[in-house]
Amino acid sequence: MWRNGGDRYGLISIGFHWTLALAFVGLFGLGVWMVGLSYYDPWYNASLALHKAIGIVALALALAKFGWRFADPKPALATDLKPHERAGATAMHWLLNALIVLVPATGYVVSTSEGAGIDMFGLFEVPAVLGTSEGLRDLAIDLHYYLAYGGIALAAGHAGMALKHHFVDRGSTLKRMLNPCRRSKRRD
Amino acid sequence: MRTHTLAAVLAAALAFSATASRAAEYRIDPAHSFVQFRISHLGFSWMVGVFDRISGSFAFDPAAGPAGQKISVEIDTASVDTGHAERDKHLRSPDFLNVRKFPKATFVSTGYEGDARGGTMKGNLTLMGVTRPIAIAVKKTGEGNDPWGGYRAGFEGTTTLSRKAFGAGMNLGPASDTMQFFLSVEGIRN
Repeated sequence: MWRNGGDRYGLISIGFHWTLALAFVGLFGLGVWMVGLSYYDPWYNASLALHKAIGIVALALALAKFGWRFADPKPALATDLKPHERAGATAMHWLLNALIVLVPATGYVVSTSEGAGIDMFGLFEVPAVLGTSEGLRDLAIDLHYYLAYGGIALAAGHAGMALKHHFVDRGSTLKRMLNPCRRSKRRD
Repeated sequence: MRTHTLAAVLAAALAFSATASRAAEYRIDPAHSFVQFRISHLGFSWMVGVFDRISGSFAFDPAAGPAGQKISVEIDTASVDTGHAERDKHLRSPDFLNVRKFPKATFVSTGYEGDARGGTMKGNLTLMGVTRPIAIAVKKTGEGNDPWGGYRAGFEGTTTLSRKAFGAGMNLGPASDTMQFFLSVEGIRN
């Protein structure tokens, strides 16, 4: 139930997927909203503080997800997919996996580029550990912006294809990510 | 014989004037020159910043009178530094300095009123693509031989600018239109 089994996802993998999906979409919305706020908006400073702290949580979750993947290998793709769908799904998963690390990581580089750490909801501080040159900082600023917009487009495509497989092809892909594997033993 | 003498005198005069004008030219020492600014934060306190990279040259020739004093400065707008990463990122963005579109700000003097100790340096400031005449109150801070074989002269200046006059950008509130500048420029004589 907790671990992946055979061709099914376990609760841990499903939890990582939906938490990171919520974080990615939520942080994107928060980011777009906060940069449009006026200087006198009550959320002008708090929105950025939240964006940074939640971003660090998302980065930690993404890294934990990869750690978990070594401990609990991913099940095979759904067997009802056609070859080009399998190739597309695999490419999409690699891209999204890269983005859930790169987008928060570039945000961290930008925010810590002058040596200040990141305040985590007033509880503790994540220190600035990178010596960031102006060139790296400017690259990170651009990457954070374009990868976030590119990532949200990819995520929309990913969600759209999942819905298409579910409603049009009547496939099992979406159900795999909603219902955890019930068997405690692996079928291999 | 007379023409030879005249030619010699002319040549000497030319050589002298060339030396004199060259001797009055200084190149700005970026390590000892600062463009600092401060702007009111909501009317409660000062937000202080500096442009880290400036370059240029000036002429300081008191013997030549006001016409002998000139300056031309170039400021790298992306070098704006207020000690806060996200604010500096925002200041470089199109909401403020728009450094991709306007990587340089320049000041080129058009005339000086005053004497060797101080006065008013007038000139054109180009900032965010807008060129406007401004006046800087200047004062000589010192000059003389430095310990490494060069000759230096330094000046300080103050001026105020209206953000609106240069295209403003993001609204920071009624107290934050006026920016005060403190300039400290040191040059090494060529």
